[in-house]
Amino acid sequence: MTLQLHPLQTEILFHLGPVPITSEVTTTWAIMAVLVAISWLAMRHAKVKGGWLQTVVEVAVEAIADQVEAILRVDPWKYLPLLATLFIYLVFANLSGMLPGVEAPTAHIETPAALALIVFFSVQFYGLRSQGLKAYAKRYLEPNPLLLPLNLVSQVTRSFSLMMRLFGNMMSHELVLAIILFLAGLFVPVPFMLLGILIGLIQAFIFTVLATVYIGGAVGGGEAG
Amino acid sequence: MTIDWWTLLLQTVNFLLLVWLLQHFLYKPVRAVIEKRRALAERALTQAEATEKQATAAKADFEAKTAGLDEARKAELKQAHETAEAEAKKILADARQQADAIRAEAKRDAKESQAEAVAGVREDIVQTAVKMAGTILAKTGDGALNEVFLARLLDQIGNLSKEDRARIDGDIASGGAPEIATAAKLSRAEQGAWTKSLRAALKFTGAPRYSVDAALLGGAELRFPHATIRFAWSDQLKKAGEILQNSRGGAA
Amino acid sequence: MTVDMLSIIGAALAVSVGAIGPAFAEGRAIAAAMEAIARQPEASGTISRTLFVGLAMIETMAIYCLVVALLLLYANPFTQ
Repeated sequence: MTLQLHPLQTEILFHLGPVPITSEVTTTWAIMAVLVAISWLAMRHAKVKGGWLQTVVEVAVEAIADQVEAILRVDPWKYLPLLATLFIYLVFANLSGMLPGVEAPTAHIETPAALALIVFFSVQFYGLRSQGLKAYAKRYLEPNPLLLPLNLVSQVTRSFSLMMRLFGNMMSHELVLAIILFLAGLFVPVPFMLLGILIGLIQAFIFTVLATVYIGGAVGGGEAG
Repeated sequence: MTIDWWTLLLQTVNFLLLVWLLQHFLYKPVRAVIEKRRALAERALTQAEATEKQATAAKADFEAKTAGLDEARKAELKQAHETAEAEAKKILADARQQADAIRAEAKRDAKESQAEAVAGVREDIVQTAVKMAGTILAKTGDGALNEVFLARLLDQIGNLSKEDRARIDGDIASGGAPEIATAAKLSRAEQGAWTKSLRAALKFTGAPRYSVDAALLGGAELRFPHATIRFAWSDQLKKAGEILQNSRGGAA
Repeated sequence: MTVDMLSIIGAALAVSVGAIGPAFAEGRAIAAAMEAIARQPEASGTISRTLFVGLAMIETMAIYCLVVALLLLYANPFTQ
């Protein structure tokens, strides 16, 4: 028995016309369905004194809003759709790897790349919208116009590092689990799986916090990234 | 390392779709509920503030009332105190007055009893004096003064008032002779002399009866059925004692 | 010595050496954060959030090394 590991490759499940559908996409669709179902069930008949599900959902959303507000120091509800969705999706995606037969979408390069791209363009969008073109463009010339290339590179590299951090952590964790399972047997990976839960939550938190910090830096007034 | 661009595109679209879905199904309702709750809380807060204001006003009112009550009670207490003091003073004054009256009465009583005692003593003294005088007179009036007594009797007969004289004349006319009482027994000669002089003065005819009455001390008494003519030391002594008593008593 | 063998040695070196620096850095960062929290417990929320972000930054270096090692092992451009 040999260990066949292909951590950098994605498995194509089927083709939808010309479009190849991988396991990442199907898992993401499942996560989307679950999230929408929970949201719809919880907030379908939203009342001032809601049931337990509504309370749980409200507490979660408000906790995220509080964290975002603590970093941005502005009304968080304008940025919450992006940032809270980022956090909720990442928690579900990272922890979906714990389910048997399911691979975490974030353990492949495409999903972190897509999220990092969205964050990258969101930062530019929010910066432009809140400051205007002139003021926002001027930020790239500060503190010295000579630093313009460096500023541009830093914009790209921090998005790249955002992607690589999430991908590396999740992928290496699954790789380590696979190796230990191959070497030691059935129940030895359990502690590592518990560690995997912690890692998944922390990575989701870090990704969201960094995205928030980048957006805060772009709109000004927040903590510097 | 290969990147599946289709998957990248699909994941991007998936995520943006998820953002839109959650915005519609999660964030909007949550925010609406939070806003509703905040409005409710604000309304409750304003209501609570109004209630608190009301409560404060009620408390102030109550405090004011309590203060008024306190003052009223104080005034009442003061009045009661004054009344009690006045009553006490009055009682004290009454008691003093009563005591003064009792004392004055006692003094008066004492004075009266003293006066009575003095009067009693005086009377005793006067009586004793009269008795002593009577004893002495009784011894002295031993016949020697019978002539004087007779003269006195005759004087009295001469000085009789018209009514007495008419009564005696009536008695004599009805044939009675007087009874003659003397302190000392008269001798036969004296009796004859007395009968003679008295018959001359009163114009009676019968023989008078002679008797002795030691109570007269000295002197003589003519006793008719309806009238009496007397001259006695005992009368004089009694009169003197009375005069003595009255004069001393008046002086006291 | 083939390219495969060199790639394996390079991957091992990249991970092992690349783990040393971030390990020290994370230790110092956590020690400083602990001290700060002990001094100002009321600021523990902000401090721990900043600590996590900083640890993620530091860890990125180790992850870069890991990615390089994995590229050498599974996607080596010189062995195709």
